[in-house]
Amino acid sequence: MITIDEIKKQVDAADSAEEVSELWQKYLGKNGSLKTAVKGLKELSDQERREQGPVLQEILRQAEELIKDKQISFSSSGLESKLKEDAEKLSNERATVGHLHPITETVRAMNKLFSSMGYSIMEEREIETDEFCFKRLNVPDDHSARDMQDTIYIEEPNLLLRTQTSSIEARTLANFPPPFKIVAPGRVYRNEKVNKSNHFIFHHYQGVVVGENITMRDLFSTLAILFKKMYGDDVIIRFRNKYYPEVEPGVGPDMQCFSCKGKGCSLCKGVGWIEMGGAGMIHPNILEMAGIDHQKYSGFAFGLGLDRWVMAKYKIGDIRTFLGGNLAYKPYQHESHI
Amino acid sequence: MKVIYSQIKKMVAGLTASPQEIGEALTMTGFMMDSFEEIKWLNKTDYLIGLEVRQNRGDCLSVFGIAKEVAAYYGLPLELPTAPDWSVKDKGFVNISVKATEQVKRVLALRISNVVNKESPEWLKEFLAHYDINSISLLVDISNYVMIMTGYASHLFDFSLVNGELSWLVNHEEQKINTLDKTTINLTGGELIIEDKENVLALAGIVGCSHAAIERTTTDIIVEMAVYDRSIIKKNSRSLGITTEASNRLSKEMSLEAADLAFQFLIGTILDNAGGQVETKVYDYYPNKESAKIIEFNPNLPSALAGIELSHKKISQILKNLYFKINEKDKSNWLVTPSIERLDIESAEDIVEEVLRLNRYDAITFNAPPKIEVYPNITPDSWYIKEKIRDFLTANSFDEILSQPLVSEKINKEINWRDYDMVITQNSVNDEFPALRQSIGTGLLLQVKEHRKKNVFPLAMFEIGKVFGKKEFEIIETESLGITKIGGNELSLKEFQLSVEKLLANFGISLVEYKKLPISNEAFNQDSAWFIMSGEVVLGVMAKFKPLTKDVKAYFAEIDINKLIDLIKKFSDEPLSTIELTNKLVSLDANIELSNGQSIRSYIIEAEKMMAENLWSLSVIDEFALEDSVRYTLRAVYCGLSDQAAKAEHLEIFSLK
Repeated sequence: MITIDEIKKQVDAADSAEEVSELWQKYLGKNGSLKTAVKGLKELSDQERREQGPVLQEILRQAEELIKDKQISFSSSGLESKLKEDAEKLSNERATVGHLHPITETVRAMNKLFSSMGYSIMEEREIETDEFCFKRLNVPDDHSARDMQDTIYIEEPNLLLRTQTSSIEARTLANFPPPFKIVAPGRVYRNEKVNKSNHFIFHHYQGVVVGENITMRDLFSTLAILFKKMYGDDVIIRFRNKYYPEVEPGVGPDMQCFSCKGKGCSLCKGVGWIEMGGAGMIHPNILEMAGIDHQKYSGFAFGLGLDRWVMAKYKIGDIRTFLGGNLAYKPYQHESHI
Repeated sequence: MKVIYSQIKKMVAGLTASPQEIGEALTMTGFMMDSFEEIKWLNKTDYLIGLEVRQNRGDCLSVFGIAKEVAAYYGLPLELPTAPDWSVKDKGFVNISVKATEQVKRVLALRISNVVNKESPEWLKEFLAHYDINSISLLVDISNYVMIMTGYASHLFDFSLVNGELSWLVNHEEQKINTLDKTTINLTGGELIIEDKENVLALAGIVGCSHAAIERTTTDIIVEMAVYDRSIIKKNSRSLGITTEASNRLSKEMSLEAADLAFQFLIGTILDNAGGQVETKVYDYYPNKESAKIIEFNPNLPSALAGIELSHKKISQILKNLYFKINEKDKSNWLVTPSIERLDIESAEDIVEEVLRLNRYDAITFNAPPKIEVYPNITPDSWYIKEKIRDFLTANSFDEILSQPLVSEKINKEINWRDYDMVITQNSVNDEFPALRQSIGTGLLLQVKEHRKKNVFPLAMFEIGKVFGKKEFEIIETESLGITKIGGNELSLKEFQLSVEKLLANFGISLVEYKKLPISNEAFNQDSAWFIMSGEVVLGVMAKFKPLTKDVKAYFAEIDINKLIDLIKKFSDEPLSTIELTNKLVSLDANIELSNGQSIRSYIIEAEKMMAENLWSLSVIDEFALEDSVRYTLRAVYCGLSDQAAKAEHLEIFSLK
C-alpha cells in the first residue's frame, strides 16, 4: 500500500497545474488507486477490514488535502473561489449576556472593597438556634425580637429562621480564635406580611472585627469608606447613639438624604437623613460567652440592611421584585455596558 | 415620646437652645427626633418634639426623663416641678394583698376622700390632646398627665364601689371583662389582674375595667401606682392585642426607687386640682428593695475604646451632669454610682457609652483610613466556588434570580426529587408559604410558568441558595444550584446537558454519568429525568419539565453545591498536563459500532483509561444510526508518540473493541 509520505513527495515535486491534475487522476480519480483500494475494502475479511480501513481512509483524506492545496497554489482564481466557498455570513442574532441579581451585584461590590481591606467573607446556616441567634448576642429573654410575632420558628423545638446576620457573628466568634475581620452577607427572616414595601425575607450585610486595640474610630472610618464607595465621595454621614443589645456603645450610622440633600423629603420622612443600619463596639458579654478575653481583645460590628440600598440604586419601587424572578433584566443590557 | 419645648425650657434652667437644636442634640445622643411640629400651648406658639425612645430607656418615656437628658447634655441644672406636701387624716392603710409575688415588684397606694371630679381645665385638656389622649374627667386626666410627666402609670378606683381588699393576682380562668372604654375582652388565663372580692377591676399595667371606675360623682378614691415584671405586661399586652400608654411604659424596665417621686407628684397634683383629704398612709409593697449599683470604672477606657483623647476632667463632668456619683479611688479606678432611674447602666462599657454619647460621636474624627493589619483569611471554599459558578453561568448567558425559600407545600411536592421530609414553620404570618423549599427548583419552576404565560423566551436562568429537609429527625440545610432553560424547538436536552457538564468540568469533574431518577414528581417528564452521578455520588438531578405547550420546552438541573465541594476537595494539586512545542500530535480516526443499549460515554471513558499515558483527546466526530446499532467515528489524538507507534496503539485499542 502506498504511504502518504510517498504521495506528498510527488505532490511537492509537481511544477504545474497539469502535473497536479495528473496526480489527482492517479490517486483520487474515478479509477485512481486510492479510490479503488477503498472500494476494495468490502472484499476483505472483517479482521482485515478493521485493520486496513482506518489507515486507508486517513491516507485518502490527507491526499485530497495535499492535492487541493497544491492546485490552489497554481491558480489565483482557484484561491479566490476557495475563499469565497469558505466565507461565512454574520448572524443577525445578538449575543445575550447573563446578569447577576442586583443583590448579588451589590454584595460583590461590597465584598470587593472589604476583601481589599483584608476581610474574609463568611456565611452560615439559615436555620438557627435560639442560642446563636439571640442568647450569644446578649439579647434578653424578653426582647421583642424573640416573640413569635417577630421571629419565624420551625416546628422542631428551639429552631428558628435567623432574624439577623449577627448569628454569623456569634458562630464565627465561637469557631475562630481572634484576630479576624469578616463580612457576612446573608438572608434573614422576620414574621411580617408581604406587601410593596415589606417582606418577610430580606438581606443583611454584617461586618465584624475582633483584634487588639480596635476602636470606634476604626469602625467609623471603615463605614465612611464603605458609604463613599457605594454613594460617592461627597456623601455626608453621621453617627448617633443607638441601643442594640449586641454592642456597647452602639451607634446608628445615617447618611444625608441624597434626594433632598438634608432638607427633608418623603424619602427620608422629612428628617433629612436616612438610617443605614446599626453598629458599635462588640459587647464584652458577647466576647466572654465565646471564651474571648475582653480585656485583651475588643472589636466592632455593624449590620446593614441591603434591600433599601439596592432598591434606591436600581430604582426598584416594589421590594417583592427581588424575589420575584428576572423579568426585569433586559436581555442585551449589562451592568457595565458601553 | 413627645415633649413640649416650653416645658423642657422651664425645667432646665438657663436653656437657650432652640427647639430644633434640642431635637438635633437628642437625636445625636440616642433619641432620634422623628417628628417636629409647631403648636399652640397655653395661648403661645410652642413646639412639640417627637422622639424615638429605645427599649433600654424606659426612664425617658417621660417629660422629666427627657428634661434630665437635655440638662445633662447642656450641663445645666435640672428643676423638676415639686408636689405640695400633704397630711394624713388616718393612720391605716388601703386593704391590699399581692398574690402574684413574682410579677409585682412594687405597689404604692392610698385613699383620698372628698375629691371633686369635674371637667378638666383647658391647660390639661390641651396638654393631653397633644399626646392624642381624650379628656375624660379631671381625676382620670390627672392620672394620664402624671404618667406622661413621670413615666409611671397609675389606676384610680372609686372606693365606694370596691368590695373588700384589692388583690394583685394571675388570672387562671376564662372570663370576660369590660374595660373603661366599654370594650369586652376575653381573658384566657395567665393575665395579671387587679380584683376585689367580686370583680376584676383592672388588667394590671394595661387598662382599667368598668367596675369601680371613676365617675364624675366619685368622691372617695383609691390611688395606686405599681411597677411590674415588664415581661408579664408585654406578654399580656401582646396576647390580648391591647397596647396602651401605660403598657408601653410598664413593658420597659422602670426604676422601683424613682416610683416614690412619681407617686408624690401624682398625689400632690390630685390634691392641688381636685381637692380632697388623704385618708390613709401610703401602702408600700416593696419586697425586694432596689439598691444603688456601684460600678468599677477605668476613666481611661472611653479614650481607649473611642480612639480619641478624653480628659478625666471632661469625663467626670459628663457623669456629674447625669447625676452619677463618682468616688475617684485613683487615676485608673473610679467607683461610679448611676442615678436611680438609670437601670440600663450595668457595666463599665455602659458608662463609656454615656461619656461618648454626651461628648457626641462627631468628636471622633474618621478621616484617616482604618489601620490595616493582616489577619488570617477564613473565607470558606464554598464562597469562592459559588462566585465561580456565577461567573461561568452569566458568561454563558444565564441570568441569576433569587426566590423565597419559604414556599407552599404544593410547589414543594410538585418538584421535590429528594427523599427528605418537609420542614414546616409553626408561626409564619404568611399562610401561603409555610414550608421551607426542598429543591432550588421551586422558584425556577414558577418562573418558567410565568415566562411561558407572558410568552417571554428563550430564557436561561439560575439560582443559588439554601434548600432544606428533614431525614430521620435531622434537619438538613444545604447549598444548591438550580439551572433552567426555556425555549422553542431549537432547544435540545443535549445542548442543556453540555452547559451543565461544562460547568462541572470547570471544577474538574469531567466523568459525569447519569442514572434514571427513581422518584417521580409532577414537574418532571419521568422518561427524561436522571440523577447526575460522579462515581457513586449523586451530585444532582437533570430533567425535562413536562411539556408546557407543543412548541415550548424547558429543562432543569440541580446541583448539590456541598457535594460538589466535597468532590473538589478530593482532587490533588497536581499541575495540568501541558504539551511542549516540540511534542508531536498524531490524529487518527476509528469506526466503532455499538448496539442500541450500549453507552458511547461509557465506551469512551473505558478507552480513555486504556490510553491514559499518551492520549491527548478522544471525541466523537460522527455517528450513524443502523438498524440495531449505532456506528460512531471517533477521533483520537496521541501525544508524544511517533506516527508508527501511535498507529500501533490505535489499532490495538480499537481492534479490541
